[in-house]
Amino acid sequence: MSAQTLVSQLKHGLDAPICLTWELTYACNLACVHCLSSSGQRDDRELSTAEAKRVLDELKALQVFYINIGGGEPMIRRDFFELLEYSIGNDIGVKFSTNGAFIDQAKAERLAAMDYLDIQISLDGLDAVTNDAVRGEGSYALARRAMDNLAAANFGPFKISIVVTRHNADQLDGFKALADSYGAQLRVTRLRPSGRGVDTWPELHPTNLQQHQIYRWLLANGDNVLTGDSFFHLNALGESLPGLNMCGAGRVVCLIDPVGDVYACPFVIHDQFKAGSVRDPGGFATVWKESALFEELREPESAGACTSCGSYDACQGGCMAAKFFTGLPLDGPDPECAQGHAEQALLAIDRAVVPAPSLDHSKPTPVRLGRKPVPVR
Amino acid sequence: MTEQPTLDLALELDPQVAVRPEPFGALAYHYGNRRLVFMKHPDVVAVATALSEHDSLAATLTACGVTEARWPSFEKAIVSLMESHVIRQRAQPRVQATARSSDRASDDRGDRSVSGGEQEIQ
Repeated sequence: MSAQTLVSQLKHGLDAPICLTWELTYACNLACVHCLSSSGQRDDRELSTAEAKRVLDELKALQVFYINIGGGEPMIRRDFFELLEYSIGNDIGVKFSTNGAFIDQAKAERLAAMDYLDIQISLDGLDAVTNDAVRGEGSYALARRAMDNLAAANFGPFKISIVVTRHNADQLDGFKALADSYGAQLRVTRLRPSGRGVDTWPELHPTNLQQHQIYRWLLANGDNVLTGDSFFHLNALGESLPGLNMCGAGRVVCLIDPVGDVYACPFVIHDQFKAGSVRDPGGFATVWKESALFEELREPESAGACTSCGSYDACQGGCMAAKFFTGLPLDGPDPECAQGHAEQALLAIDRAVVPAPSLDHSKPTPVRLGRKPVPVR
Repeated sequence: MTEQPTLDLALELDPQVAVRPEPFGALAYHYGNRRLVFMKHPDVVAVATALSEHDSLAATLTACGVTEARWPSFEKAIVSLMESHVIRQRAQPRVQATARSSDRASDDRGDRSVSGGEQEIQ
């Protein structure tokens, strides 16, 4: 079976996701300007420990190999370690994303003693000025301290996770060197206009010139760098990047949010992409297998305005979430179409009618992008 | 790696690998190196999961009813699965208790340093 046939089969969906993202809480100690889930304050309806364990029981029965835990800041949950141990004890590997604020020496040692656990420390700048403009004052120091603690505890190769922006796109070599210095693995993912990113994406997303740079850098370094398969829109530029290079939303991945709602992917927390809840009578499995939304996402997609473009097979029209939250039609070019096919459409969008995320858990204090650290070319 | 022909080897699924049946074959996930492998043919899945019950790959192919004309393609598929650490050579050629594919060794933290092939879906 060729790779192409496999991808077309995967597009019809699987009986269970290969992996899924589970955001444990909307509470967060930080207030990043691009937060995909507009996190800040805990939601009263968040899943209890018992409910969360029931979901893990279901995922075990479905043979989901691993889950990506996020938030919010997942370590804020009092039962964080209990859920971690329950998951790993049930053959569900865990990779969790954290800002690192709660990884002191003792926690680092506890984490290092666990098997089948990956940790991703988020960092969005190679220096405090670049990072803190996006993630908040002091966040760079917290992340580096967590990395130092994990290294001292001999955790092994943790991951350093970068969201590529206009301000850090020129620092990729530096991030790689930083990861190498810790024996860590670098992970770079695409900035989406989701959550609070709806407001900050226009000034934070990489320029077209930078996108070409990112593509060339990934081609040269991609085998040793994780990307969450998030840059497949750049395949329009030529040779394919490593990965499945398809949108997995509702087909091979999905999101469970802190209150148990199931969305097609972590970047589309909006009612239009909500498939159901793990609290529904049939639980997660029924949502995954029977929701009308997921069935629709598993149908062949229409190339729409991209039909006449020779690159469509390579880029697949890009990211559904990126189109949705910039107000573009879903069957047309990605807002960061490498061929520039979305530029006119983006200019014509009335910002007032761009869909807003359905939920906002931001703290009452306004979240603003900090001082711009790097002159934009 | 041994000089022995692959057909003569006593093989088994790596104990850190879980296999999940899928319409196209199966998904294999290696908990140690975090690699996800797509096994794209149901017959190969049947052979791979039966390896531990037989003394050699050849014996497994016979037991699974694979005609000899198809052996070269199966041998190629099994070699490829050995390269991705889904299948490994068995320490003892004698058949032990049937290994369950979901069993995992717990004393192998060292494996976590293997990272080159890790694939991320999300």
